[in-house]
Amino acid sequence: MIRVDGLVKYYGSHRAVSNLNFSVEANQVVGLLGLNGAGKTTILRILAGDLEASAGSIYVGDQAINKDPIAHRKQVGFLPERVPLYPQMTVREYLEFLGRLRGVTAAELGARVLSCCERVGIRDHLDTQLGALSHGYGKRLGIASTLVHNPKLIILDEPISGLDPKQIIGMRALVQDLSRDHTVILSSHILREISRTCDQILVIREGEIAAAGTEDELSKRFTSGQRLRLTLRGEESLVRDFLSSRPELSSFEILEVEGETLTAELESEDDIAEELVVEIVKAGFGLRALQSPSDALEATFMELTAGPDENHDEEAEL
Amino acid sequence: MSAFFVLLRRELQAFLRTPTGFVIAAIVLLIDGLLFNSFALGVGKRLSADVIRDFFYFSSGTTIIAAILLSMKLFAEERQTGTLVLLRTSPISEGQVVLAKYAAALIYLGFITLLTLPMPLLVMVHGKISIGHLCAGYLGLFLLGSACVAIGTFSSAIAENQMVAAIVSTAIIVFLLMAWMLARVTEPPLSDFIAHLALFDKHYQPFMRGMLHSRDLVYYLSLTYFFLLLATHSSRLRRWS
Repeated sequence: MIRVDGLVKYYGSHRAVSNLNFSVEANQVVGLLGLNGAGKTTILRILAGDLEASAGSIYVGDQAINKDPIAHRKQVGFLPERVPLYPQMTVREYLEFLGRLRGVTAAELGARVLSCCERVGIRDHLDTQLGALSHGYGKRLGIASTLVHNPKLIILDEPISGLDPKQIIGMRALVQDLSRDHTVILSSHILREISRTCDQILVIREGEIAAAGTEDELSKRFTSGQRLRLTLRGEESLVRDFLSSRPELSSFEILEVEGETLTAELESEDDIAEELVVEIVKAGFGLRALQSPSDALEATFMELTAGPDENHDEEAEL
Repeated sequence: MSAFFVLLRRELQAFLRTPTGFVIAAIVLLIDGLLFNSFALGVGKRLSADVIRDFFYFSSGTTIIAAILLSMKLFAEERQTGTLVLLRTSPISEGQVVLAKYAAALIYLGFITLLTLPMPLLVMVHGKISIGHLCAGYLGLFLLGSACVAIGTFSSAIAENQMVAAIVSTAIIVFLLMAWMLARVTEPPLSDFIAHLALFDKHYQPFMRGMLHSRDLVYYLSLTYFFLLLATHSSRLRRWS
């Protein structure tokens, strides 16, 4: 549905986006993942028709968007990171204004506003003034505003930022729901915020695609072996001897010792969780927990998305 | 309803729903009323035509100030609050956005100007003035306001915030007001050109006296068109930066 060919964007002499190429199929959810300043917002703003590219082309279907920008903007709903709201308006007035501005006819406007509010769960707030909306409801209204003219493409810049864990779960479900009728492109700088939501993740670093694929594909490609976090009860020297004697472990590190309870991080080439549990019990240690560290994949992506300068800075600080 | 009228309506509502619009109207009417009593009516007997001429003279000042205050928010406020992106990603051209915002500010300014009507009508009741003089004067005020709102629209389109927008439009308007002084110290044909740029001296004074010249109409309409064109192009250029 969308094809991006050689997209380049300069701000003055600074190159924010470099020769970007990717494509998105209809009804896919695609996530741009990268650190702040990686170029995600610039890419999204160009896709939304807010900014002009310095070079390259974007095609929606067979039509280059710069050939008819007005027609392109009719097909797009864009939500910036900071939800743009007119505080004096009510939810209904805001959506009706945007609907009219984007060509929704008077006959279908009322029904469209109601269905959008229903879909994002703000139906009870139709007559609430925008200045009185909470951050979470503001984000939901922002999503409703992208839907009101029923566009083919929905672009969400950091839709999950600033939401609490419950709202994040709700937003993920909402994004999944949107992909039934729309193609969705969204951005985030934190992998776990968009994990299990996107059909495809584009890792952006310094305006370029550093990696692309599904979360599982990226995980397999960039995490070698397996990392485990082990918590057990036992004397530290005995635990060290035990872990040193395991040939299947490529490395281990004792992270924390609290009385007789130790936490260690282990690395291995293969999946050794089951046999390790058996061996720990056989050795007489009290096994308390064995799990994959939740930040393992995140850390890999952080390394992937950080530019050489940032890595260098971190090393210098260490 | 076309996107232009949708935006025009929202812009007009923005003036009517916030205290700013009413405060500006109140200040303009207060100053006009004070000047009308103390300056135009004055003490002793005066010719009705002179009173009306003086009324249009000081009303031009309040109209210019109101135009700057009303137009400074048009783009700069939306840029500050982040809502400009809603317009930039909607299927509406830069020209339509500029025109809708300019038209809303001009309509509101026209509404404020019309509220001053009781003052000259008072003169009409007690004295003798021609309807033509009144119409020409108000047309002059409207055209002057139109040019100043267009200058303000352009300033707002290029400025990052409302204060900068107000400073830029004030600077442009002061330059155009003072152009006749610059014309005095330059040689022809440059002096003739600069003299014709003068916002008030050359082109507004005939309206004050109830005279209508096509050259003055053309001047104000050209100035309006020029600055609206600049505003449109600067809005378009911002998509590249």
